[in-house]
Amino acid sequence: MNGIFRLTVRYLLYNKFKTITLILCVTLSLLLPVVLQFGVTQFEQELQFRARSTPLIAGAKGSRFDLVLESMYFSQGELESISMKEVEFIEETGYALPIPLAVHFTAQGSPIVGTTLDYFEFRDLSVAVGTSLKRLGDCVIGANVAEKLQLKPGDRVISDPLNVFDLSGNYPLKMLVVGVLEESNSPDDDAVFVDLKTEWIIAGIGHGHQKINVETDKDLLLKRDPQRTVANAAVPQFNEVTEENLASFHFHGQAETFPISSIIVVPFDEKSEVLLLGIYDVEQSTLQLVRPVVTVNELLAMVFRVKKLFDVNTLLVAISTALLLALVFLLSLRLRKRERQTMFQLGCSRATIWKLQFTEVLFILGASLVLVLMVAIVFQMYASQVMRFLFF
Amino acid sequence: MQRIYLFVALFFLMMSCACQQDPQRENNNARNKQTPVVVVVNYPLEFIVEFLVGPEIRVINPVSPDADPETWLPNDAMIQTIQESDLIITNGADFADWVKKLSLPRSKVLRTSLYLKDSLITVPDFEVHSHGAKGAHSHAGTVAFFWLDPALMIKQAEAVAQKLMVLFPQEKKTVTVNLKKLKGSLEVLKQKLDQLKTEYAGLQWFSQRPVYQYLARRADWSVHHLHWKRHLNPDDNDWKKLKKVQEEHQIPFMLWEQKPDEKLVKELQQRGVASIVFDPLTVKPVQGDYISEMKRQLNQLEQFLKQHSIARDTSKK
Repeated sequence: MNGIFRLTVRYLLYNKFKTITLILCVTLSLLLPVVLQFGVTQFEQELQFRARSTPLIAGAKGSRFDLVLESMYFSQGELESISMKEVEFIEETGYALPIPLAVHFTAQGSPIVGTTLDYFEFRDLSVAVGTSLKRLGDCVIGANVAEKLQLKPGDRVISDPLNVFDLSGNYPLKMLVVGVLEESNSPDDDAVFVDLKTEWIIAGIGHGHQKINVETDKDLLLKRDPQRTVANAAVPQFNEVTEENLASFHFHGQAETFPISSIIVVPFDEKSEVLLLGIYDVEQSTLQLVRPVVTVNELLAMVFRVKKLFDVNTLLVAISTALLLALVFLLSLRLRKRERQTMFQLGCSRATIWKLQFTEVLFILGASLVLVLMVAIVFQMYASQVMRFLFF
Repeated sequence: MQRIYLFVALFFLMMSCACQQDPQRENNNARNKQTPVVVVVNYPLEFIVEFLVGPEIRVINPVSPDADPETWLPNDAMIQTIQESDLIITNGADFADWVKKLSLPRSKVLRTSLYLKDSLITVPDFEVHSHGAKGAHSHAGTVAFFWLDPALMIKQAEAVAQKLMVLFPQEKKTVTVNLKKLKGSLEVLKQKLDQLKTEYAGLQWFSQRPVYQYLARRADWSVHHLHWKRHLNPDDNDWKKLKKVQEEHQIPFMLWEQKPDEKLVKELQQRGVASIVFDPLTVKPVQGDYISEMKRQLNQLEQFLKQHSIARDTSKK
C-alpha cells in the first residue's frame, strides 16, 4: 500500500495541470448544491427567526412582501407611507403595542430607522458602548455601521440627501452618535436608529431656526401683522441639534398626520391578535395587517420552487462532470497502456495496477471535498451577510 | 508585645465594623428599587396621581418649582430617570416641550388628552409664527389647559386611575376609593363654576394667550387671546389691536396668569378693561393644593365679578 500511495502522489505531482483541472471540475460540480443548500438554509433560518419574532406588521395596502421585507430588513423599497393616526388607532384599541417605523433615508449608505425606544426592547437590543437615544438629533448605530464607518459615541454622522442636485430637497442632518449597539447578527447591525421625531426633522417636517427679531431681521420676514409673524424660506435652519438650539426645534402640523413606513404590531394576547386581524380584514381598510410568518413561508415556497430548478440543473451538471471524469480516466488508461505493460512485466499484478488507478481517483475526489468543505465553512461564516447583500 | 497584639486586634475589629453595610440602608435601597415610579409633566397630573395612590408609588414631577413646565428641558440624568420610569403621564396637546424633544418608550406614555378628544378646543391662529415660500399661513393648535374645567379634570383622573390599576393591581382598592373622593371634590368645583355660569353667563374676556378656553366654556364665557408675549410688555401694535377689538366687542375684563405690572393694569383700566389674576396652576401653588386653590380662585373671581357688576349698575344709574 505504501508503494501505491507513493506512486500515485508522484504521478499526480508530475501531471500538475491535469490534476488541478480535475480537482476544480469536481469541486465546482459539488460546490453548487452545497452552497445553495447552505444559502437556502441560512435564508430560511434568518427569515423564519425574524418573522417569528415579529408578530404582525401593518402598512399601506400593496405588496405584502415589500411591506414585510422593508419592515424587517430596512430595505429601501417603494413602500407607500401611512400616518401616525394609525398608530394612535391601534393604541386606542388596547389590543397591541404599536411600534412605528420610518425608513425613508440613509446615512453614509446605511438605512436610517426612525422609531421609538420600544423597538430596542422588542428586539432585545442592548447598547454596548454609550447610551440609548435621549434627545432629538441623537442616533444609535449598529455594530457593523460602527465598524464600517469607524464611529464611536460622541462622533457625528450626516444623513444622505435624497438628491444632491435638488437644492430644495431635504437638508442633511448631522446626528450625534450616542451609542453603539451590541452585535446581534441581524439587520439591526447595519442600521442607524433615530427617534421618530428626528426622522421627521430629516424629512423637513420639523426644524429649528434662529429666533427672528422683527426689527433687525426684516430680510427674513414675509409678512408681519399684529397677530402673527410670517417668516420666509430664507430663515437659516439648523443642520444639527445641539444643547443650545434644541429648544428652537419644532414641528409644523399635527403629529398624527406625520408619515411613517409601517408599524410593528405586538398583540397583548392571541385573542387581541385575532381581533386586530379582523379589524383590518375589510375592503374599506386602507391598511393591510399581515403575519410575517405567513408571508415569509409564501416567499420560501417560491424560493424552494426555484431551488428545485437549481437542483435539477445541479444533477445534470454532476452527471456531465462524472461523464467527463470517466472520459478523462479512460483516455488516461489508453495513454498509460505501455506504462501498465511495463509494470506488469516488472511483476505487478493487474489488481495492483487497478488499485493505483482507483487511488488516483480517490485523491482527486478527496482534494475536491476538502476544497468544498473549506469554501462551505467560509460561506457559512458569512452566509447572513451574503444573503442580505443578494436579496435585501 | 501583648499591647501590640491588643492594638492589632482592635484595629481589625474596627475595620470589620466599618466595612459592614448598614442593614437599614440596604432595606431602603431594596425598597427604592421596587417602588414604582410615575413621571408627570405638570402639577395637576401630579396632584391626581398623588391623590389616587399612597406612598407606595413615587411620583416625580421633573420640572423644578421655579421653571416653566411648558418650556423646561431636562438634563441627561433626568432623561434617564424619565426613560426608566414605570409610567409617564403626559397632558397632550403639546403642553410640555420636553415630551416633543426626548426619546420616550411609547408603551410607557399615557397621553391623557386622548381621553378628552370630544372636548378639545382648537384655536385657528394658535401659532404666532409661520414661514414658507407659499405665503402667509398659520396652524391651528389645541389648547392644553384642560384641568381648568373640573369636569375635564375628572376625565383625566379617570384615565389615570384606569392606567394605575392596570399597572399596579395591588393598588386597585386604594385607587378606587381615592378616585371617588377626588371626583366628589371636583364636583364641588364644578358646581361653583355652574353657579358662575348662572349668574354671569355670556361674559367676554381678554387673555394674553390661549389658556382659559376650557374654563370659559364651562362658564359660558368667551375669551379673546391677544397673543401678547409672556413676560413682555405690549408694544404699540399690541395696543392698536386691543383698541380695535374694544371698538367692536367692548370686552370689559382680562385674565392674567401672573400678577401684571401695576402700570399695565392702570393702562388697561383706562381703556375700560379690568384685570384679575387666575393662576392656571401649571406648577404647585405656594399654599394648598389644586382643590383648595381652585376654590379660592373661583371665589375670588366671583367677588371680582360682583364688584364690577355693582360698579356697572352704579354707573348705569
